[in-house]
This record gives sequence, C-alpha cells and structure tokens, in this order.
Amino acid sequence: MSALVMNILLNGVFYASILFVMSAGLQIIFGVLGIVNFAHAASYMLGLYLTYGIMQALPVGYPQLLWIAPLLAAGLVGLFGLAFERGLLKPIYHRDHVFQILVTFGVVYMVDDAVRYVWGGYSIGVAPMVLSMLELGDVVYPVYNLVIMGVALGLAVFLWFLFNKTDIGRIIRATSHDEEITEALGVSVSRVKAGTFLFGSAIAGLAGGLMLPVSGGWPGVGMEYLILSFVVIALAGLGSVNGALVTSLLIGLVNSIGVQFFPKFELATVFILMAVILSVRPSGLFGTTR
Amino acid sequence: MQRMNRISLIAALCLLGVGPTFFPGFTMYLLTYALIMSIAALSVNLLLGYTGLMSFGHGMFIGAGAYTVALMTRYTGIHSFEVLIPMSIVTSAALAAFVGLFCTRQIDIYFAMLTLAFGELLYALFAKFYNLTGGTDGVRVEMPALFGYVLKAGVQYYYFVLGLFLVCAWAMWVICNSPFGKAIQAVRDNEIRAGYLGLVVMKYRLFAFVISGAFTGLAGVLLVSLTGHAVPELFQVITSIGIVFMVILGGHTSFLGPVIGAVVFVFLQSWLQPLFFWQFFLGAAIIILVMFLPGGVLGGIQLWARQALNRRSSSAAQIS
Amino acid sequence: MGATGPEQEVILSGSNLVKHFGELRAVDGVDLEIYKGEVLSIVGPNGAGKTTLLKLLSGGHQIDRGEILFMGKNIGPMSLIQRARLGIVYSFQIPALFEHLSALDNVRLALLNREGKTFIFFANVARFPKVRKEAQEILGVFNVPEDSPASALPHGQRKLLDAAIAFALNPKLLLLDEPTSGVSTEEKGQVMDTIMPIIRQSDTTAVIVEHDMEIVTRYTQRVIVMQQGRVLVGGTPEKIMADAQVQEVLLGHAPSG
Repeated sequence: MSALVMNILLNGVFYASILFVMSAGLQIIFGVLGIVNFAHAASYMLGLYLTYGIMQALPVGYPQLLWIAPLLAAGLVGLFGLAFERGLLKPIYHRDHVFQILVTFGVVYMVDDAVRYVWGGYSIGVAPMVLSMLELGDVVYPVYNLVIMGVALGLAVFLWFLFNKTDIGRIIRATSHDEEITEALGVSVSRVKAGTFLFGSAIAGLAGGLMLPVSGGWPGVGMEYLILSFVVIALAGLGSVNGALVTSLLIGLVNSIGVQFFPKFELATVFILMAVILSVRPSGLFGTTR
Repeated sequence: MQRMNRISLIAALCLLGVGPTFFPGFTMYLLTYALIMSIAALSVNLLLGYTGLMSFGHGMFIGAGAYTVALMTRYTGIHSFEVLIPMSIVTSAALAAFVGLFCTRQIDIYFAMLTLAFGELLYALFAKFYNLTGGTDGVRVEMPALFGYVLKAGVQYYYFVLGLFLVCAWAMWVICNSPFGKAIQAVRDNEIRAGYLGLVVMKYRLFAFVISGAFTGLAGVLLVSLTGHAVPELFQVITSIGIVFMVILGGHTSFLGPVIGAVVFVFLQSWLQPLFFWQFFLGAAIIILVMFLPGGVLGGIQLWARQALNRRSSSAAQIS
Repeated sequence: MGATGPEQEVILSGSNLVKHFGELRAVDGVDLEIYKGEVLSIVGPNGAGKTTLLKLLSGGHQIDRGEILFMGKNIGPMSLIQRARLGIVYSFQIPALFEHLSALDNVRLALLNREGKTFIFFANVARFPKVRKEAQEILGVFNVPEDSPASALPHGQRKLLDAAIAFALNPKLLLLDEPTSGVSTEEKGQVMDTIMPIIRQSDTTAVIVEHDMEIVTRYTQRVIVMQQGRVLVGGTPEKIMADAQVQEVLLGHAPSG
C-alpha cells in the first residue's frame, strides 16, 4: 500500500481513537443523565495539565514511572467530575436540560482560568514516553500513537463487555432507558449518575493525559476535541456508544483525508459532512428519539 | 406594579437620552456597546424566552453582520449604513434560514449543539481563508457613512445606535405580541398541543430563528462600526455564550430582561477584565445564576419588589 | 336527548381498525360509525383501548390496518395536522395547555390558528378585537377566568380550558378524552354541565371516553362498550346498562341500573 494511503489511514485511526475516548464518555453521560456535558472539555484539559504536573513531580531517572501520570491524572479528574456532578448538577436535575448544559459550560470557563493561573498561559509540552518508531510497510509511525490507538480499542472492548455482560452494565442501560422503573427496582439512580459521571470524566481526563506528549497543552486545549466530539455523537445519535465508534472512525478518516488534500478546509469538511448526514437522518445514524 | 414598571422604563429612557451630557467618554462607549449587545440579547431571547430554543451559535450572526460590512467595503467600496444595514440583515437572515433548516428540525440539545457547530464552522472558514477574509488578523473597518455624513465616534454614534436600538426593541415588542409571537410561545409551552392545533412546529421555529438571526446581524454591523475590527472570533462559541449569558443574567422570562443583562454584563466585564481571571468569574457567575437566580437580575428585582409590596407572586413566570 | 333517527348522516366510519404496540393489540379490529350531531361515549375497563381508538381517529396514532372515512375522505394516511385542519379535534385527558400563556391567550391562539392568522408577525394581537371578543365569549361560556396563566388554574378549570381550546377550533368532530378524570365528584357535574350544552347548541358531533356511567347516562345518547381492543356491544345508555354482560365487564366501575 502506498505510503500516502498508509499515512492517511494511520492518522485517521489515531484521530478517531481520541475522538472515541472523548465521545464514549459523552455518550454514556448523555444516556444516563440526559445532558451533553460541555465540562468534558475541562476534564480533558485537566487530565492533560495534571499529567504534566505529575510528570514534573516524579523522580527523574525512572521513565517507566511516567506511564503512571496519565492514569493518576485520570483518577483525579474522575473525582473532580464526581464533585462537580454531586455539587452542581444534582441540585438542578429538575431544570430544563439546556440550563444544566449552561452550568457545565460555566465549569469550562472556570477550569480554563484555573489552569491559566496554575500553569501560566503558555503552551506546555513533554516528550512521549516511548520515542521509538515502527516500520509499517512504507511508513514509519510513532509507537506512542499506536499505544493510544490500543487504549481506545481496549476501551471499546471494555465498554462492550461492560454493557453486554455485566450487571453494572445492565443497570446503566436500564437507567438510561427508564429512571423511574430502575429506581423502583431498588437501584439508586442517584448513585448510577454519580458513578457514570465519574467514569466519563475520568476517561476524558485519560484522553487529555495521553495526548499531552502528542499535541502539547495550552489553555482551551479541550475545546477543539469537544466540538469534534459533538459532531461524532450528533452523527452517531445521542447515547449510542457503538455508533460513536463508527462515527469516530468516519470523522477521523474524513479529517485525515481533508488535511491531506484540502488543507484549507480541514475542519470544515467535518462540519459539512455532519450537516449533510443530519439533514437526511436527524437523529443520527444510530440514534433513536429519546 | 404596572405603574412602577412604566415609571422605571420612562426613567431609563430619559437617562439614556441625556446620558452623553453627564457621562464621561468611556462610559458612553460602554453604553453604546451595551445597546448594541442589547439588540443581540433581545433577539436571542426571542428564541430562548419566547420560542424555547437555546442557541449556542448566535455569534455567527454577529460575525455575518460584521464581515458583510468589512468585505463589502473591501471588495466593492460601498461604505454607507443605508446600504450595509439592509445588506447585513439580508445576509444574516439568509444564513439563519440555511442553518435553521438543519437546526430547527432537532430537539433542544441537538439544536444547541448544531448551532454551536455551525458557528465554529464559520470560524474555521473565516480563520483559514486569509486571502479572502483576512484570516485570524481580521479586517479593519472604519465608521461607515450615514447618507454621506460620517458619524463621529462618541456621542453622535451613540445617538445613532440608541435610535436603532429603540426601533429594534419596538419591532421586537410588536413581534412578541403578535399572533406569531403567541404561536411560538405556544410551541415553547406545549409542542404537542401546538401540533394538535394544526401548527407545523418546525416552520415557526425556523421563522423565529430567521428573525432572530436578522436582528443579531444588525447588531453585528453596529458592533464592527464601533470597534473598528472584524475578527473571526465573533463567530465562536465564546461570543454566543456571552449573549446567552446576558439574557439569562437579565432574566429570560421578561421582555426587557435581556437589555438589563446586556448592560450589566458589559459594565461588569469592563470592570472585571483587567482583573486577569475574567473567565473564572464568568463561569462562576453563570453557575450561580442558573442555580440560584433563574429569573435573572430582573426576575430577582421583580420578586423583591413584589415581596416588598406585599403581594403574593404567582408560581408561573409571566411573559410580559 | 334526541334519539338516533334512521335518516342520520354518518360523519365518520371506521372499518376493521387495528393498532398494535409490539405484542399488545390495543385496538383489535374495530368497526365504528359516528352520526352527525350525536354525542357518543366509549366506555370500558382500563386497557380496553378507548384512548388508543380516539387517537387513531385524531391522528395521534397511525392505524396499522383498516380504513377511516371522514365525510367521504379517507383520512387513514393523513397526519394529525391534516386531520386537525379537516375539523377533527382532540381534547386531552391530561390537559395539554400552554402553561405560561393566559387562558385568554390559549383560546386566542386556537382561534388565530383557525383563522389562519398565526404567521402574522408584525401586528400586535390587540389589532384583532374580534378574535379577542370571541375568545372572551368562549371562556365566559366555559367559565374560565381569562387573565390567569394556564398553570395557575385549578384542575377542573384546566380540563375546561383544554376543552375550550378544542372547541375554539370549530370542530366538526370533537374527541374528548375523559373530560372529567381527575375532577372531584362534585365538580364533575359542573364540568359536564358546562361542556355539554355548548356541544348541543353548536350541533357539534362529539365522542367522549368516560369511566363514570352516571355521566354517560345523563349526557350522552349512544354508548359503545370496549374490551381488550374490541367493541363488545353498542346502543343507548339504557340498553347498555340493562345488559348483563356489560355489567360484568364494567363491574367495579359504576353503580348498576
């Protein structure tokens, strides 16, 4: 296969990987809480910056330790998400969903400035934990990127297993279908919501942490991925994790092709695709009206 | 209560009318800015308060209005309000019609997301095409002429904007209290029943979106004439959220709430911005407002006034 | 109450109407004829398919099978909006009101829509005094205060307002879904005493879903008894009440006789 095609494919899948990790969290949160969580951008950003901070704090000379950073950061971001959900979202669950979304937006602005305060307004960056490249046919590709793709794949498998084979997964699915019945069956819907938000935020944080060596960080870094994640979930149909897998790949590849052949249009190609698809299938490719 | 409203309104108008005599230059600048954003806020509330749709993309209409001025001047040399204003209204309305066709088919969350996405799309386009649009540098704009006469920035422009604001406010008041205005409120309150009455819900939402976009485009023209600089950031979500915030701040359940919200926001921003972490306070303010003051500033004042006048308020929010 | 005469015109006929929700056969082969100007009630135990049948007529649900002819037109494939335009109006069991609008505006909107004026956006509503007057008259007859926002009305008046909105559309066929449900026993009479004379005076054809057999006997001319998606029997209220099988089906719902 020609180097060009390989490049496009690899970049596309790589982009899709991050989009999927972000979108999966959004979909699960939407399924259970009914809101589109703008604060995901904050989770991504926090994950990235916390990873940076942790890496800075780790003792030098143990490169393997660096891998802990994104995981630890993800955990912290999950806790932050939990605090946010319990403290700010729970009191307003009865309100119109768009107001809840506005609150999640407020958090983005707050976290943005908080990050600016702690780490300054400049860009930050680190080297990837693995610097080696792999030869794939005519192309040389960073192993680190492949690791990220692996993580996304792992997440996809994990989620499939979770939702189809475990009790927790069944409970989550039941809650997203019908809160009242699930509550009547003895499940604490409140706890499910808290746990879901924790998990969703954590994986967004993980995405940020993993991307730190790839793209670096700057205040507002989460927004681009968030907006693209919106396109992913809108195309997939809100709530559909499987759909998000498909549309992440779609968007990733379209973007990759766009960057290669229509660099000026880049982002625009994605939005145009979204507009076209949504005009034909308003609830997304895999969506059902909620 | 009604009388108090009327008196406050008249007092406010008088203040606006004689303001320039008493207020220093910078305050006048802020007031002009506030009046321009009030037009945008009123149009966003036409959509939010009256039709029940929250748009996260109205910045695109400000940008549309702004760039209509910038690009018309750059490529055709036309630089007068009497042409630019109608042109911007047409451009924004057309944009709203196009975007609206996609967005108004959707339920609320999708609607918000799609409007956001379209705003960002326009930002991406205008930021990239440097040759056409000046890219991220934007385009410098000088004050357009009004029937041959170039308004001086400051007091003259203020009165011009005030005049247009009053016209827009009056127009929107009529629209909100017209049969169409009642229809969109019905769609907001009970979409299903509206359908059972025979109303094609999407048609009304689309039309409200177009009207809203048109007025916001006008605000864009006035804004760029004030600031002198058309930038792609206008299309972005930060602009859009800012307008929504003004509406919620002032109170989206009343007609004039957005105006108050715009004024408070503009002055608050100018006061806080130098304090570095402006966004932090904006975010916190949004959260506090949504959680504790759902009626916004105006709602809060009305509540306080009612309690002070010792009357029981009805639990339903009234659109006045 | 007038008797159903042999020369009465059929305004709506439904044949073999079927509606399934998955496994559930909500309406399972119903034949129905509605005569112009009559007041027909549909009764039956919970889950008999009464509301579903009403919605099949109004367009709230689409029929899976069967045919509905309304004034000669095949309305089966028509949407809710199209049927509303033809004059088939549905009034909700749980009042579907425009909560933040005043009662006056609720009715006024229905009237404006009837007149096709709802897209006028550049004239204050005050410019339509005739509409206002008619709305006020309707509210007066239905006994609902005009200035109160819909959400602030007590339940009985909410039901009346719902009916008023439906009525304002000059329905040719009015479908009332449990007009007295949720209303206290004392108020039930009031509600029906308000609605029924209006219906009679305007010679509107009405179909009422009801549980209360007293209401049915007092106010309606013909009854259809449904059970498990099918029509069991039909006839005058007296005949129905005397039917032993009907009594068994409705047991527990109303006093006999």
